[in-house]
Amino acid sequence: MRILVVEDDSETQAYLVRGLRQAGHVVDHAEDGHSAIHQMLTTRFDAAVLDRNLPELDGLSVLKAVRAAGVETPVLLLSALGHTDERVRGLRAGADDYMAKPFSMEELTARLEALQKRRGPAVSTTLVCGDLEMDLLSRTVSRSGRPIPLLPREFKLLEELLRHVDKVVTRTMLLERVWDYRFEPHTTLIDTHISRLRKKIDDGFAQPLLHTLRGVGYRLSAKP
Amino acid sequence: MIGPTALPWARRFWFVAAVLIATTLLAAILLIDRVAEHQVSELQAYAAGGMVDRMVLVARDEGRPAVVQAVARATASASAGQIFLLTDASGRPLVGNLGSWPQTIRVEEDWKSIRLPDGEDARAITARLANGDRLLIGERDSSRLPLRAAVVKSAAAALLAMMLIVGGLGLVLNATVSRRVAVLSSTVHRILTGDRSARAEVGPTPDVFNDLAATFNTMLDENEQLMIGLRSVTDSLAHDLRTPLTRLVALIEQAQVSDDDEDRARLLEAAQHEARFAASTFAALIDLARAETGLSRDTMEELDLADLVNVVAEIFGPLIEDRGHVLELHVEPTVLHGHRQLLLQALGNLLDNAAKYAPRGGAIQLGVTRSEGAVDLYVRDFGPGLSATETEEAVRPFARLARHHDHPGAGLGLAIAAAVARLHDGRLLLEDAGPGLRARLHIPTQGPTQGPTQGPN
Repeated sequence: MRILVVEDDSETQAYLVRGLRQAGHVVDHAEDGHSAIHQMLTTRFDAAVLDRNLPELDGLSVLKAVRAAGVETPVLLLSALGHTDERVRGLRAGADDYMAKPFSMEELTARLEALQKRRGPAVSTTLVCGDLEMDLLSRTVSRSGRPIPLLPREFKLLEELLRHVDKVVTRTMLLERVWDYRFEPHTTLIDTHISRLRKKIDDGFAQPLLHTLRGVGYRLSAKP
Repeated sequence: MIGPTALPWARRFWFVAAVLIATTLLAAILLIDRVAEHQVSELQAYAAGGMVDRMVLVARDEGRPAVVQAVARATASASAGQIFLLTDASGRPLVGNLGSWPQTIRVEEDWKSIRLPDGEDARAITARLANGDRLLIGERDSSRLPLRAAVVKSAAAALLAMMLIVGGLGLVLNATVSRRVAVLSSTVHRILTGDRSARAEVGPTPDVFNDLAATFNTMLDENEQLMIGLRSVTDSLAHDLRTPLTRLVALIEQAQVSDDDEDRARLLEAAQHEARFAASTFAALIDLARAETGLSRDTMEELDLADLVNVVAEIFGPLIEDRGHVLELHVEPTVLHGHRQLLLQALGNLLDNAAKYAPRGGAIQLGVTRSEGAVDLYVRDFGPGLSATETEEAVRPFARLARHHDHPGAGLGLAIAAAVARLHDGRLLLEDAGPGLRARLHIPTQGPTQGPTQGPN
């Protein structure tokens, strides 16, 4: 992916650029709002990481300006203002996702990749991972042809994982996307959900599909 | 110290007031004088007219000598301002106290203003008698002066007395208001100079100033409470953030000197955990502060609380079951104008608390009920409950009840739930459910509470 990082704090910018390059992306960067607008209008990026507080022209204004100019690049807004209302304001201004500082690189990368997926064209009624199949119309799941009964909450969770198959999905992403719940004081909350889901889809099969990445999140994949 | 009369606008106010009062007074006196003059003149006209009518009758019935005699008698007994003149048809004077017929008046005039030969102004009635003689009876204008002067004098005296009384009352009132406002301002002054416990004196009688002083004191109490709360928050914040930060520094230092890669990785992971803990404590505090100050109101919307409760139950269900509890739902269809995220968080915190403190194997009830004018979101457990002092303690930020020190948690959960309730103009109630504790978000609604909006039938 070609990613634009707009961040005025040089430490954070270096951290972002290094992290994203290590994850295999091509990274450009800008330090202020005006050059950010210039770059986004002249270059085609697959995604942009935009700091909320920039000198002179702030992130929200940049976002509104490029959206008004018809730029549809997915934008992840990064802000020291972590409150839910700030998130709402950011999304209203045209952001595709919102993260509060401090953030972890894994979370950021996972979210940026999720933005790509979401922009993808495929409108399919079946989601597949290896021999696991989900039929979105009949709301049924089966593995190797054997039906797996799931509770509604387990179905929603698995659907989210299947939509990002082979990619990392973090705990906060799951809480946000499945239930629109944006607080994380309860660290083990998602783990309890996942362990139940894992029992149902992986128990009794030779190859596990649901992988835990310690300290980061989960990945549903037929590859080990 | 600034006195109330030394304000910049005060002097201008008094000047304008004085000019206004003087103008009004002058206008009132002029008006009274005009009215008095007019009334007296009417009376004089009536008297003179009567006399003229009588003379016309005398002339017709008894002839000129009788008229001459009557006019002469009247002239003799006339007051200073009365004028009489009887002439023959050619205008030659026969009798009276006027030397000649004035140029400015013709015969047959009714109470006309004229100028007399001696230069004075007067008003007169004239008539032609049966034999052609002319008669003039009138009053000099100066005759009305003494009466007018008397009226104006007494009116002016009365007005002046009234002004003095009103002015005096005004000054007394002003002094009273100034004195009683000064009580408030001196209280503020004492607070500004550091005496936070200063309060305004409240008198025994229920009047507007005592009410104001009482309200003022309530506001000060509230502010002091907030300040104490803030101080305890910052103290606890310092502690709760310093602890993970200190550990963080220590872990990083250990990692720097470690030779073993595996050991270093472990230390760094622990450091990351501490940093995240500090960050999430901080985020929770910001949420608390935002909910406290009501900044979240602009993102409120119509919410289906039954749906909200179901979502919370879905999220927390496995966690609660894993801890050995049974979650029971009691849901009534209810709509509320509220903040979805914050209500989710508040309910989540209450459930999390119940899951921590309730004994294993017990039920935890989660529900929403509506009553006249209010909705209640509640979490009830069948655990040990809280004593009265513990209840009060529990909603303070960072309170972690003494006997629960073994349970993890930043201690902000109930404080956030209470703040979220206040944001919705409601309260967090912690009630003894005997057995167990019921934590209830009690939120008043305007008008009768509705179920979910139905589509048009």
